[in-house]
Amino acid sequence: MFKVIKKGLLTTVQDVKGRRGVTYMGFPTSGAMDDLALTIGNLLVGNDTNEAGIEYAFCGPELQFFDDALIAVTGMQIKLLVNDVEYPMWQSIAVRKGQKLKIVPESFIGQWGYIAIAGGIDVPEYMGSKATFTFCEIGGFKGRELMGGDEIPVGEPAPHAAEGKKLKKCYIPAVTSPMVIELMPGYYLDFLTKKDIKQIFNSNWKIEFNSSRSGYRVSGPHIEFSDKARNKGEEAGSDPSNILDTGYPTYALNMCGDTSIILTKESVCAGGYFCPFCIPLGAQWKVGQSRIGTEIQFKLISMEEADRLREEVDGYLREDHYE
Amino acid sequence: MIRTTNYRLYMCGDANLLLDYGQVRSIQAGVKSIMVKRLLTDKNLQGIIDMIPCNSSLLITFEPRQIQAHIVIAQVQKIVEEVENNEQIRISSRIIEIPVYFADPWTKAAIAKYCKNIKEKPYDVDFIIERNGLKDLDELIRYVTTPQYIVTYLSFGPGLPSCTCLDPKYALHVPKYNPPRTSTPPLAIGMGGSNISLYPLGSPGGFQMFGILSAPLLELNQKLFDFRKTPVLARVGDRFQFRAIGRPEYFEIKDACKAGTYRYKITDSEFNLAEYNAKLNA
Repeated sequence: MFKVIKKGLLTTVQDVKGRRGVTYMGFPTSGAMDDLALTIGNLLVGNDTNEAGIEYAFCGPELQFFDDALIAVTGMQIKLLVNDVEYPMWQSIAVRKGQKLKIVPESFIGQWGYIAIAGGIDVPEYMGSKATFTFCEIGGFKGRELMGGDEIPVGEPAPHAAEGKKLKKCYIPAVTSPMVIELMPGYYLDFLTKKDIKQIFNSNWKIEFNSSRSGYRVSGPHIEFSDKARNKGEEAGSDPSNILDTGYPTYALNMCGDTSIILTKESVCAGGYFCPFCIPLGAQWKVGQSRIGTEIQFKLISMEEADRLREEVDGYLREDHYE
Repeated sequence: MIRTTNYRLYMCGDANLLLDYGQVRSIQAGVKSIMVKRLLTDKNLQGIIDMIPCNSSLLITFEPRQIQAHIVIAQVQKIVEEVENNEQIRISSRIIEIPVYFADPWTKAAIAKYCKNIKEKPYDVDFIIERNGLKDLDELIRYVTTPQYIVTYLSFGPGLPSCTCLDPKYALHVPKYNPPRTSTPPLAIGMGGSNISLYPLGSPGGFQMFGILSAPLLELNQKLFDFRKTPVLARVGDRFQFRAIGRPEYFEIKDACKAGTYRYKITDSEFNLAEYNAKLNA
């Protein structure tokens, strides 16, 4: 068990995959904003890859451990202190009973960070997942962000969990500035002109400050919209980006007039605006490390390249990435 | 993208497939989407994660590590063609009676707040009555409570059912709020375009509110009888039969819910598209 001394920012219990098979009922998946970072953290401490850990943004929590624990911190670049001694990220570290873990913001690189603990977070599942969905107050620890004074139970570590397991430096997921995020076609791409599409892939997009787990608002080039979008009749709505309400793929680029939203872990599951592009599975973690207020670029890729990206991400499940 | 005269299939990213029957809302397309979901569920394919029916479309989410995209496309297209050639499309469709307190004080207060803080507008109930050439509130109640409404999607918010009128004689239409509200009282019922939406938790929204429900649509604690298997009351394809209630019954239902004894009136049934079309054309 550990106690929350300082709660940090947007600190919640999240697992990797979130809630599956319930988006048709309007429940978003929830789960880690950087699924790759939490997966790596879990592997470092010998957990099941989908195990629940602690997620935070910008400013990590300060925790005090009541029992010996094995932890790993991954994701956003920060300074990790255990009992005021600095330790590296991307590595499993032994914390002794009574010791404090402190996370200090160090750079402006990345945004979402993870603390994986051997044994995982011992909270009940709701609809098949430990991920927190604060809007409905379900999952995680009491369905909410962690607060100072919370005492959080930890599960049994796996027998093979070991101190000193490191992710090889060359495999630390690269955070660039600007972050380049891959896109593939989505639906109603013909609502865009050729010029619109060219602009989308040749512009810098800014991540606006009103971005969150419910969606990353991005500002980019002005969109003209094609004749098809403008002349489709009143049924769907008067804006060229309106469509008849349709299911939204997660990590779609949802265009609503001149503003666009990257649909993330707690976005609405259906709506009346089109999704001309989608971020493939292997690139979704990049959204989690594209800091709000910074710029990103998009790159159009094929299904074959998406398969390769996914294989690259799956590579982190192999022992050859660790030492 | 696969394009035929009746439908399109869009591969979205590497993990989603959209079946789209077109940009026109129709009972036909809605029921076909639900039927395709049913048939795809029966196939029990490993790797299909979710299927979101919504108006005239079905979004299928899958795990490409377990099932390849081209196999999902092939399986879905096979089922879609089967449904296109099926004269007897039937889906299971329970009939749920939904008590509604029309022109209630809570939505009235929310509208007054919108007028004060955002933009002046006519009272939603009056607006619906005027826009549809109805006489008065009694006629609005008659229009909403006579036909059945079929639930065409549940995905706009947790447990949020959106439904379409099954009888064109009673179809109503009204523009949405512009700009939308930032909040809606929980359990409000509203109309937007030709759809009715019921808000289990309250949320931002743009539908014209004409009443409030007394019993929950979403019960996360799953204490009431109708929620023992799932926290969400409605299923896509269910039909709602709205019933007008007054203030006393509104509070009686609320008390029964608090006591844990309330049960909805739900009838198991089937919706037969061919029979429905025949009745329409009669």
